[in-house]
Amino acid sequence: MLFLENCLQTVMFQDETHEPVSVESSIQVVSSLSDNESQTKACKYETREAQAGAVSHAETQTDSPVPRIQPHVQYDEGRLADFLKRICPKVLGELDKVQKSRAFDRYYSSRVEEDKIPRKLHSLNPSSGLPIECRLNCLTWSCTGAVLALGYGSVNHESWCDHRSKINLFNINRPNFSTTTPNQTLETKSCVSCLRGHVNESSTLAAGLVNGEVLVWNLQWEDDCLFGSSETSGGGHEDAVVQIYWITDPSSDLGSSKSILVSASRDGQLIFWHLTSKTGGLRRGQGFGIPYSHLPQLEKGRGLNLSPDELLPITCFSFMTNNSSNFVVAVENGGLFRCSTITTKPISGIDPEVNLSDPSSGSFQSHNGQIRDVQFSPDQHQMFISCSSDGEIRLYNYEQSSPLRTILHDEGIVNGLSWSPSNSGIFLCWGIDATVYFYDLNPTSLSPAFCLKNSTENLKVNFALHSPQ
Amino acid sequence: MASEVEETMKRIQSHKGVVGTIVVNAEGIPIKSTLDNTTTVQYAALISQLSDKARSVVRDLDPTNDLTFLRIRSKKHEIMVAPDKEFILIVIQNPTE
Repeated sequence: MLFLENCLQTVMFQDETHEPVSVESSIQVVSSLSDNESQTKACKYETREAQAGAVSHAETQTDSPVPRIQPHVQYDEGRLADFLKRICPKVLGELDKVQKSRAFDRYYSSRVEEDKIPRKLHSLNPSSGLPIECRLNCLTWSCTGAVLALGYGSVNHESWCDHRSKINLFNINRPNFSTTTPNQTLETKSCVSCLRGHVNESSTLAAGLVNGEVLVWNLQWEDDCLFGSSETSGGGHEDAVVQIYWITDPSSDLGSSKSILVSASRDGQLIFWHLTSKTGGLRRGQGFGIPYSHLPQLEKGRGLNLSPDELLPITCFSFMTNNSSNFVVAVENGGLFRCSTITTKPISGIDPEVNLSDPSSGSFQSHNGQIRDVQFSPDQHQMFISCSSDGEIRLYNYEQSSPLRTILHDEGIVNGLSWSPSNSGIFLCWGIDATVYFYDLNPTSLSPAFCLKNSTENLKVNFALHSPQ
Repeated sequence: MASEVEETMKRIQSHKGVVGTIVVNAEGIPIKSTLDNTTTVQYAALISQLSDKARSVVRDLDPTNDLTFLRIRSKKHEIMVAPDKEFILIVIQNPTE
């Protein structure tokens, strides 16, 4: 078996040769480069500006929304019509019955003499710390009727007032209320001629002084209550302030009712003061004055030596209660002017920087004496009364120049008036004696309906004001 | 329809001495008024309460009875209230004495 294997092996292998197989190589062709440039044409630049020649701003603002009756109340028009048709004749019948009704014939609503005779509640007598010749010049209630402020002044003023004076405040609701010691005292640099508490803020008090200053205090502040003074804000009065009043701003929006202070003085100016910001300060607003040229020719000779452009000294003023853009101003020798903050005319000869204009649009029949007080009625909005030093009290309608009624007060000079806030048609007045007279306008009586006598006869009633309560 | 309502309201409003007229629905919400909004809302709320009370007084005293008219006379004017099932008519008049 071994011999056969070896023979097979030697026959099998032979050499063979093959021809090489080749493939042509394709190597990369050498790349060729060439430069090529392109350029755009030169750009031309031009600068141009455009601007609007005239600029106008337009803003719109809706008024603070006056709440209207809810428009979505569901009701049936038909049934409403039926109801009204059914009920109308009966209602008209009832309305007519009122005219013919005799049910109330004998009923005289005793408005003046109520069930109780008016009682004297307190007699305030703070005599400490006051110089002897001092007298009570003015008083005012705070709007809630809790605080009574008394202002003092000296009786004799020869040339200029250099007295220092004070205002005493009595809080009748506090437990430590005493009739001799005031709860608080405010110092002033001059005699106080008028005082007024703010209309809705019970802690704000304003005063006018004899040296022409107007001061406002915020009684809630601890240390120094003085809120602002016309001296520091400039543009104040040059002569004694005769009356101050708080009114709602006539130019304010319907919704808000900001109050501004109005002061009038013997230098002929009536100035609006705005209270600025919570931190204090008074800002002078509009000013009004009535030039001498407005007096009718006949009256010019009566003791006033003024040039035609000077302003007439104001003695008192009053604003209409529901519409504070209408007001009435009384001037020195009995003239009474109808004024409005809306229709004003410029005054000639006044520096245009000073905000002063002439608000008068007509005059009323003037009194024969100096007008002491003017007051608009709180409920019959067009009526006002005025009293003068010749003892006449006149009732005027704002639209008419001659008085509706004239009442001759028997006791002579009438120094002041005050309407009763609760009873319509009743006002009180006082003169130089110790009595307060109540007049009732509704039944046509020309004599006082009621008199309130003070117990100590030699005291003069200088001021009387209804408490807001 | 609407003009009838307006016409009747005008008739009442133009009657002698009438200061204002208000129509209120059963819930006390004013529907029509000739006065300003604040006054109207006040009158509506207060008078409808009073009218309900008055009516319940009348009915309590006699269940077969019912309130037809309510008149309130004050110092300054007279308020006349005509109640109904669905509406209340309030007329404020100034009586000339």
